[in-house]
Amino acid sequence: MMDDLPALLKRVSRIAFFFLSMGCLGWAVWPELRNVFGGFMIGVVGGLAISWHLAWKLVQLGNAAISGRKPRSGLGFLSRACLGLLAGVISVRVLDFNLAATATGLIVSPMATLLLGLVARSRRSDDHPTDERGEKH
Amino acid sequence: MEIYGLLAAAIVFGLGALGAGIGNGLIFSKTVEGISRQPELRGALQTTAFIGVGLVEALPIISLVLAFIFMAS
Repeated sequence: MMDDLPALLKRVSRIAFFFLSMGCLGWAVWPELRNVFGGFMIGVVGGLAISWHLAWKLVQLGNAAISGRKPRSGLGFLSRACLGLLAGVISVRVLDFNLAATATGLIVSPMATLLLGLVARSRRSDDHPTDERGEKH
Repeated sequence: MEIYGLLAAAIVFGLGALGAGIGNGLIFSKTVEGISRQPELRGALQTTAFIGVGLVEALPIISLVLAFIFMAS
């Protein structure tokens, strides 16, 4: 059961670091494709930063909801979109890497989050079957 | 051709961000409501919100990069 946000974040980070190491390996083995692997690695780092930022915001949201005070900062998509934009601009404009590879790297962390969440949900439904009335125990 | 690329980028990212904004608003409002009602379920609600936002925000991040590709073309 994965009801713990830090545990989920740790798993997502582990998957992102795995893809990052694959990118480093590709960077070292295929020097002619360095713009592709470099863009991919920057995208993975950007996606991971987005996930960490989102988790931090959610913890802040929980604290604010429990204490009853207004959260200091917003929870919108803008800051995370800016992180993705920053990764794209650094990768493509500054370091002259491949844009499609950067896009692929950016969606690694959200896809990992989604897959881990679906796996956890299916495990949870297997652990707690419903009775004949459809209610969970 | 350049103006069409800019227009396509604006439409792609604008609609993607609009959907993400609505989805995020719904997710966060229900999360705050749930945590306020039952603070002991905070961990489960935060994890579910994290997964939901990850699902919601995958599309606008893709659309952001697609907008870049349209602008570059």
